[in-house]
Amino acid sequence: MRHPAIAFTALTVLAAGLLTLVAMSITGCRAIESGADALANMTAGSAVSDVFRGTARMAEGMRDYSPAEEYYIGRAVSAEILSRFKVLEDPRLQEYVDLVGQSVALSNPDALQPLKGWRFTVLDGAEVNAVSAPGGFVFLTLGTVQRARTEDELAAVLAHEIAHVTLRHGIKSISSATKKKSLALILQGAGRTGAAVAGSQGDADLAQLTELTTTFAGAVQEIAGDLLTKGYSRESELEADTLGAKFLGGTGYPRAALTSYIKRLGSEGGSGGWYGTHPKAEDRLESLAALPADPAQVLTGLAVRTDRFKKVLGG
Amino acid sequence: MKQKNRWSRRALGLAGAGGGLAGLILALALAAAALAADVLIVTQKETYLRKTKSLLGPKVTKVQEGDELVRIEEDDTWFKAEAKGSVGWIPRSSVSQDRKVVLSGDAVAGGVRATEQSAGVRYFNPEVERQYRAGSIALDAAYKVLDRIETRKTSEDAVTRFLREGRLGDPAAWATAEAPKPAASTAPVAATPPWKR
Repeated sequence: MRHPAIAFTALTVLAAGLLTLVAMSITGCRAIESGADALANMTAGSAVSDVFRGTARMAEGMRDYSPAEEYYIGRAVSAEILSRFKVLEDPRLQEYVDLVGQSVALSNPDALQPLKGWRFTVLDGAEVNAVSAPGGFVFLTLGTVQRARTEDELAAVLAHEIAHVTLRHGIKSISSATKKKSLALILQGAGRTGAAVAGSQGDADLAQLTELTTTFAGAVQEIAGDLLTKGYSRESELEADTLGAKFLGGTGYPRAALTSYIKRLGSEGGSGGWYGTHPKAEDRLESLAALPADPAQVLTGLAVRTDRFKKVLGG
Repeated sequence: MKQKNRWSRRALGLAGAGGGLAGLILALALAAAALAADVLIVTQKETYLRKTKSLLGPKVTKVQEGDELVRIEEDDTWFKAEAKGSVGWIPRSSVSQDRKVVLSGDAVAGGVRATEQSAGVRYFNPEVERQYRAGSIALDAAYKVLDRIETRKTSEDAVTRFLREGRLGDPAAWATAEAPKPAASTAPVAATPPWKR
């Protein structure tokens, strides 16, 4: 009678083990989805509430890109931007804008943590434009800063860009543009490190590396051009507005600052830059109207913030 | 009867040994899976385990890209993990649960644990970047500007002061900072921005 009992025990242990392994794999997936669900709940009822549930699926699909890969891709896109715009020579304003950006990024642990942190840079130019590259590189023109009336509105612009990077909108564009060709090259072994290139297959590897570089060069130029002229999709912009508003609230800034900035740009009107790369102000405001009202305490410190903003802007 | 009992005992012993072996293998497999699941790889160049769930919270210990942490517990945003005998909180996006995560060329060159994928880093790595920027003088110049931008570093202390001054961030930090208020001074106000005083 004891033999079946032993066999039964062994089978029970095996079954329990298998069930544990299955449960562990499910738990891993659920952990990623639950963070997104929390964001979705925050915006429940709004037209873009599904965005953050989609973030979990996107995170799953983006596993091929580590922060290190995003960093090098981001540097390439940033270099393209910097070959078209000059950096504003105003260390005080640069420092101030970086402080506002870092404040938002470091007050929101849900925001992406890039390989080497966030960089916020003001570019010379009167037009309104703000763009971000993978890896935490955010650029905005002087015109964008000058259109803001308060630090809170400046923070709103930066929070929107931090949201784009966190949601990996740039990476999504890059992937769709280059994935097919680059994947074929990668399967051939292109893109190895220097040690591998110097080996017996050195010449072949070098040729493949060159081809891979050429593939990316064309794609990155297209992507940087899209960022500066065409912009992300309407859906991506509304996603970035919603998550950006959450980041603003997470820092202590009023979410209403994003609304007031969009309203002003919408009423002023214009063409090119921001106007050509973003959806109509009415669409964005309608989407943001679903967000909960700001708590009363966000207005604490408004005077100090506005004062330091005006001092730096020379107003 | 005696013979039968002997065979029974032998069969029982074999079955017991087989069951024990299966159990041991299973236990080892489970232990390995559990250990693998509990390892987190740092994906930021340099960051910290924190005492509290805050990116500006007190630092427990510094960790670098490629370091292995042991997961202790987690929630939607944070992992509680152990490194070098210290325990603290780290945001989920500062680490990877994938042991094959691609690390930067700097990290690999610096001698950190080279993952399977980091031996054949895809997409843009320093090698590809060198080729890419060498193709255009204007692009190379833009990269140099970017390198200068990357040398800029805003300290955590400056961000903390900036937040406090503007009544942003954690309100508890405002009270702490205000407690030892200095006596009123008659000295002229310096021309430095308020958040840097």
